[in-house]
Amino acid sequence: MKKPLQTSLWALAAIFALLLQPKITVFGVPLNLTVALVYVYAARALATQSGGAGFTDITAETRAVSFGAVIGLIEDMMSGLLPGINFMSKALLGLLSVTIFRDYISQWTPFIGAAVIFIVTILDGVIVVMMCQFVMGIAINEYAAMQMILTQSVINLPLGCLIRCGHNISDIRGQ
Amino acid sequence: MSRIKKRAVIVAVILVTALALMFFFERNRELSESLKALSYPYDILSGAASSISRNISELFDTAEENRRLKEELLAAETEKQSYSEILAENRRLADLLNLKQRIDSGGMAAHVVGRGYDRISNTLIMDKGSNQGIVKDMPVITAKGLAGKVLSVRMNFSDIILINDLNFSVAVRFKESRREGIVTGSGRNNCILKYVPVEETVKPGDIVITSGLDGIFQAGIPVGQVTTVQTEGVEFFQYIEVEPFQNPSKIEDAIIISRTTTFRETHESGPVAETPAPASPDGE
Repeated sequence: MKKPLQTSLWALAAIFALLLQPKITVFGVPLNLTVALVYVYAARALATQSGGAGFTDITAETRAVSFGAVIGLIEDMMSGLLPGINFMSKALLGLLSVTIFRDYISQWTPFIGAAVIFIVTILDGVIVVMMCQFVMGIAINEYAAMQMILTQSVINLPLGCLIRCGHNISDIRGQ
Repeated sequence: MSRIKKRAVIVAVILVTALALMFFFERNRELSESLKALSYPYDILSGAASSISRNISELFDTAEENRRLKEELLAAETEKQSYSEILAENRRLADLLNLKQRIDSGGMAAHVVGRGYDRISNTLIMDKGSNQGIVKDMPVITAKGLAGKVLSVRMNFSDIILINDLNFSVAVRFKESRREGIVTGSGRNNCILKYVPVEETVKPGDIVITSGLDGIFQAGIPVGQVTTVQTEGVEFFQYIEVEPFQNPSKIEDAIIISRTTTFRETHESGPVAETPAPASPDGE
């Protein structure tokens, strides 16, 4: 009963993120809510994962990657980009988010949360821009693209401060 | 298998899948295009969101428009007020012009610039003086009737003593009976008609005009109408109150006429017929 409800909520959040993303602009820059959503999902996946060994040890990673992949694929299809670009970036970011908190950060703080989401958003933007340039052959103004990515990263900063990621990291590590 | 290796596998799977997807859809552009159809629900939702956004925007616009319209309404009201003032002034001036046409040798239109310095007496200050040919004791009339006379003259201004002042008096006669008398001010808004014998029949509503016998005011200028007649408790003369046609407290423009001017007595009911008021902007 709890899982379908959670799934529905995540689906709803994804719909809202995908819907609002191109609609809301700050200084003329559209938001990157899907990155934030994947980050939040990864954080929740990590926080709710029980410790253990074997393959179940990376359940959070697989869940985050799956979620990111699905969101990315939908985003690709909606945006008209070549399917696979956002798929790759979001899936990788899901994995990266979990990995950072699991292996490199022992204690979550708002500052660390903000820094992680900042980096994650920049990486997503960079991956998408590079793939568009090199795979799709789209000419992109790098300066404008960097400006946009940085703005999106700054906008996502408060979310990193607010979403408490891996509050029981020590437990999750199983150490 | 260690966790790092497992992650490496995941990364590899991601990359391979992504590249495979890109390669596949790069080769099959039509399919890629057809996948766009999957965004149809998004398009609907997007349209709905846009509509909501537009409605919210319109709501704010409406509030802004409402505020702007209120300001415009206020400005329009102010403009209407000034327009009404202009209309009223136009009416007064038309009446004055009409009056001037009835004065054989013309007259000098003057505007009231203030009440007299002496608050005790009922005087006005008008914007014409000796430079404009005004001299002491010149009659002052309005479209409605007698207003007063020139009390003192300065270069460009003159003081007018009003008909209701205690120090004002004018020789009059009844329009119908032609009986003579003297109207003096009472210090209030009305006047007293003196020296009308008790045996004379006077009734409220009788019209009083100047007789011209005082050597100051021309004959035929409407003065007012009788409001109160008292014959009991008096000795030789009746006590008669006359309400001036021209309310002394409502004078804005007047004509100062010379003492030699003749005034044509053309009106039927006493006061000079007023120009019909033009329709006001609000249709009142």
